[in-house]
Amino acid sequence: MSETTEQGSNGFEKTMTRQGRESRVTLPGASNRHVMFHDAERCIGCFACEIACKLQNDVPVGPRLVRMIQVGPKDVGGRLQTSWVYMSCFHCEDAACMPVCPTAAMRKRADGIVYIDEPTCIGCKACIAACPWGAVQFNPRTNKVIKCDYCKDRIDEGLWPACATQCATKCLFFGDINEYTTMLRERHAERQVVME
Amino acid sequence: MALKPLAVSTRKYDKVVRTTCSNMCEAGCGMLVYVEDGRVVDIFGDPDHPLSKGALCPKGIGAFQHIYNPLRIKYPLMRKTLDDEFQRVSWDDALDFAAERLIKIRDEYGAESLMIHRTGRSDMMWKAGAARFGRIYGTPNIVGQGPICCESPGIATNYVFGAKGLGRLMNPIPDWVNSRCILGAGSSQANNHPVEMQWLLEAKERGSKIIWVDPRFNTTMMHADIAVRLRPNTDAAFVMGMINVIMKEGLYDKEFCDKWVHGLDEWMKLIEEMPPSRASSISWVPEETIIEAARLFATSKPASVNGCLGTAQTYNAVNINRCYAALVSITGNIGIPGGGWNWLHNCRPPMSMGNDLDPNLPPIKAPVVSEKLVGWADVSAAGYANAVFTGKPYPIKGIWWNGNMLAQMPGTQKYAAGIKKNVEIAIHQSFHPNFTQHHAHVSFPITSWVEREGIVHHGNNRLCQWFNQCIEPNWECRNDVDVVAGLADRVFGEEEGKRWYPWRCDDNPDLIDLATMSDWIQQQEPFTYGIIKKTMDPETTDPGGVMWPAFTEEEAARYEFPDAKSRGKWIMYQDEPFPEDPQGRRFPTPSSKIEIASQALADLGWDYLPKHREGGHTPVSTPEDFAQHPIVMCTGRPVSSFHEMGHWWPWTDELEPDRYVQVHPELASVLGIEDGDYVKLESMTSELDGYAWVTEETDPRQVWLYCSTDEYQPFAPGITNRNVSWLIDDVIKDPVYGQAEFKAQLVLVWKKGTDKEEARRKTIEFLEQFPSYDVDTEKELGAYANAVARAGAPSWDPVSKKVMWQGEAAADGNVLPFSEG
Repeated sequence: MSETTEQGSNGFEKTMTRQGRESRVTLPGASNRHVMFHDAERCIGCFACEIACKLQNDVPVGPRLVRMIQVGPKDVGGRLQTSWVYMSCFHCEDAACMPVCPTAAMRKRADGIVYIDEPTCIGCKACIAACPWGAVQFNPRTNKVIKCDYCKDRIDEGLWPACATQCATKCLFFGDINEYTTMLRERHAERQVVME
Repeated sequence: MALKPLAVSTRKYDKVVRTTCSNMCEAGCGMLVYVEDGRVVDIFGDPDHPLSKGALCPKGIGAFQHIYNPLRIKYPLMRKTLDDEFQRVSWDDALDFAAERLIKIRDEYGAESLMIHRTGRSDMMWKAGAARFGRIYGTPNIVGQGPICCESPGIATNYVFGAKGLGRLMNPIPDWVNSRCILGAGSSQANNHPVEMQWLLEAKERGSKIIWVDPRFNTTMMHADIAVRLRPNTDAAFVMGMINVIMKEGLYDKEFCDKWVHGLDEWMKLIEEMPPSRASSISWVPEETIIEAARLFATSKPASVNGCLGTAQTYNAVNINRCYAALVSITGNIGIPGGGWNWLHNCRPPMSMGNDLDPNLPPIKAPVVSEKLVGWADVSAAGYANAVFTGKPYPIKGIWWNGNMLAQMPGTQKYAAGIKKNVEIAIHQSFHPNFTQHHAHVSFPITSWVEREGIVHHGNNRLCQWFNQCIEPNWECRNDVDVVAGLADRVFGEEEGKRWYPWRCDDNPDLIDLATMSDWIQQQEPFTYGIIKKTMDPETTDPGGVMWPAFTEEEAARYEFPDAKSRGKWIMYQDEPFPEDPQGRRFPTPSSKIEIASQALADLGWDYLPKHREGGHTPVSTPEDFAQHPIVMCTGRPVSSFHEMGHWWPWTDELEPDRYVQVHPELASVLGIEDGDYVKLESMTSELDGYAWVTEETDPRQVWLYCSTDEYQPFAPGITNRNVSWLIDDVIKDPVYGQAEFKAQLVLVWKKGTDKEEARRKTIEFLEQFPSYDVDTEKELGAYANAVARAGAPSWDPVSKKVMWQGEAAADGNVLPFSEG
């Protein structure tokens, strides 16, 4: 694995990144934790995110680390409405999948990403049963668990996860909450100004 | 530092090729292909492409599984009869065998016995090269996929606005952001061209209102301000109802109409006969929705109409599109930013097979097998099932095609039986061992688009774009046009072959140099003279391609507007002379105006004024069919596939099971169908089955099916995976251009294993609650009413499930058996 996490006695987490890069210290729950935002107003349910994930992570048929779920159409006051919901892993603060793992293969990075350490996984599926969101998937090719890790290899190179990078309508946004609100403001501001 | 959404691969690579997505829809998105040691390792959208803006759809990304798909055809295959197993042979042996039979059928039955069915879907030079072959060989039956797909809107507006060839799109999609109201008709843009939805969403976020018209509440419609779910093939009634309101309330652009519109006064009588109440009765659209849409469209300026296949694949396609063109014209939205009548699909330029042919070759002897009214443009493929089967008006003994054309032909069961019965040489250019390949004698392995270079299929936005070769051809694959050159060398002789196909590779005279040939073909037509590899290549010029017409290389390098995203002609029909019109007119029609009334169409035998006409299979027009098959059927495309693309790739196939039969919950409950049950459908041409998707997307009176599936595709979970074309009538079609009615048929639907007659009875009972259709059966039916066409065609027997002709049941083609129940 490219990264190891140590839990410090003072409540700080210390991350040593690979290949001799600078170490960084992060507060648990601090603002540099990653969040995936899904703008349902812009989503068209095209599944580009799902295929981008498949290609990036070389996922066979069966497990779907991200899944777009269509809700509707439903007749609401005489008007039909449809919505799409982005379902991958929430990377929970208190992840249900972690304590049930008998080999401690399910791990959390200092930046909050919950990932599976594949060599340590024995494929017992306890985490799949424990996750209330259906996020953890089973990989028939390896007979081990596979799940969304926000493409941590891309994150370590300063890049967004594949699904958000390749989103066809830019309805996925990856970053921290302040970046997101800044992006929304910039987007709105740009539309307000007409420069002739 | 914030993380970045960059199109950067984390895999090891030694080069990145900037190219364009081809073959997978009409959008033509910019693409970065990452290559390591001659192998594609990653695919990203090109952020510098001004239209796609770095986005790709699941097909674009999933094409990774197309390139190295183990189910690709890797080597030439041949067999003597369609009952034999294929044998692997060399390219030379396969070409020799095909050429020998082509010569034999020409000598025995005449050159017209060869039918060449082309689509640029695989390669534009195959389209041009094969047409050249047909002309030299001497057959008139050089067929295009366009008339199956959606070229009748181009025909319609050629007569309305006047244009050379199929002058369809006026304003390109990025110009949508300038619209105050966008009306989209006959598509789900989110499924068909998902990447271009960025522009619709941006327009909406800038305040544009969206009116979306389609027979189902699709994923695009969820973004609409006014969602219009209408009965297939009734757009003319709906739009005339809108125009009735616009005229009555004085919301039209009188100044523009007085100056530029011909025939509005004459049309008013028909408009007055179509108040919103009657339009509502015909079209299923609530009266208040018609009024609301009319007011919104007419009071928003600029406003545009953007159409797609849904208004093309119907009986009344030409009139429907004339009505939409009239709507955008009478509101004065022509030739201005944010306006336009914008056809999304197949906005291709006039394409020549070569100006050197006619002066040097004898004229074609036999007439074409086709019954469409317009004498120009592509020959429609939809009418060949009968000719192949019956041998009338003369035998068709050779078929040469690519893709999975047979699976997409209306009357599929009859066509397949006809091939088995009568065809002596069927040549297939293959990606996969699909349904069409199962009806071939020779199967040539074809390169995918990353294994060659060329012109992207002329798609949306009048765009000509270039795609670059990223890797060497896989296995023994060659390009489509290499098959043509190989057969030309053998059928016409080495010397003639090189004479007509001179663009050979320096290192291998068996192969065509695609760059040289493309440039030569483009320069046969003035409209595309300036659009050659040099001016299109995204590696060396601005990504985003060139919009035709561009008569010179200078024009192909020029941006017409400051906010134009592509080079070339950004907006058509501005207040300026139409390109190359000798009289310098804005609208090169007979009246020099926009023609709502068209004497030219009347002279062909079609309607002088656009009007509603019921299709060949509707509750009104064919009561006897309706009594047997009481549910309206419409079809469309999932986001995960296009033609053959996507169907053979595990990732895209996994997204949505291919066989959705949308059934409304109310009808489903009457018939005892639950979501995911297997259902069966029967029309008067055949039967198929698949999973039910119980959803309110469709109307209770209608079922809606996904298209382009294949009996032999490996991953889809349906029982037989038959394509909907099995249920589509090949006899009654749009009379003007021969478009088959893929969007409007009649079917019976029942749960597999339940009693079919009981389902029929319950359905008819269920339909009694709905109002009847206020159609004028004296004036608003079609020529099918005389039943002459039907009498000369084989029929289908629902008991034996066989094609019947002259009292006998025909043997089936190489098809899988029907499922029980």
